[in-house]
Amino acid sequence: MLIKDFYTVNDIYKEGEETIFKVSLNPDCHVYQGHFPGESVAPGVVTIEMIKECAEQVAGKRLNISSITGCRFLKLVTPDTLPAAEVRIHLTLNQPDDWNLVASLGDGEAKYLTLKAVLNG
Amino acid sequence: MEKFPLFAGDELFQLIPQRDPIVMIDTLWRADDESAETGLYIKEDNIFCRDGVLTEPGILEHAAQSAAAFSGLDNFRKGLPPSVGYIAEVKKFDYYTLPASGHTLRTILKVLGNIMGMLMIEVEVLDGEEKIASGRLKLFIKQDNI
Repeated sequence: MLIKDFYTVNDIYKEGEETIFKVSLNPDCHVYQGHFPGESVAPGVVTIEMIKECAEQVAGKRLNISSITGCRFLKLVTPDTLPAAEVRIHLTLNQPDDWNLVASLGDGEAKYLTLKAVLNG
Repeated sequence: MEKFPLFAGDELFQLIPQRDPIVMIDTLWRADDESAETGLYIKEDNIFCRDGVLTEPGILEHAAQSAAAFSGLDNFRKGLPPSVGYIAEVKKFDYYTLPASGHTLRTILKVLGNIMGMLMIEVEVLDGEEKIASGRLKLFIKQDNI
């Protein structure tokens, strides 16, 4: 985990072609000291990193993002409003070492973030 | 290339709301209504560094905070504190190389749109002469403390 203690994975299971990660966001993560003082908001880029780390678990190896095709932040992610979250990963191998990722972060009903990216590794 | 920055080091705290450990810009070299140029010296202990390189989320956060500084300059000139901003969308953001710690990034930001608290920018992140990342960002700048 790049940002120490940002989240904990509580459960992983498959649903069709997707892999679901049940995660909890840790309000005591040190990143919140600076983002922002007095108002904890999960940095968008750190949630993208969390999704990428879930994709790495699916691939079974370290991956790099070569392109974020599109990423939309639909709702503000804070450890208070989204203590228990669901990361949905759909990872497909394009060609050797080149992956397509379609993913989302949500609370089981509403989506907070959608991500399409090309990963390498 | 400008020799003297407009804002450097802790002076940036007048423009951006982020604080340690997630400060990802240390220089505002220049800015006008449609563009700006920012910088970051990549410290080895940067929160986004791993194995001696700055990872993808760190580069994206640097780009986002470059936009925050651009937007914060407006507030600063009006005597207001920096507004909190959030990334609303990332579009076609490509990474070419991950820069090593000890290097200094220089980022060119072009404003594509700036209306009703929505700031759309195009960025190019350079490590020396080498382009290491580029793409488009849309940021939502919170207006309620103005």
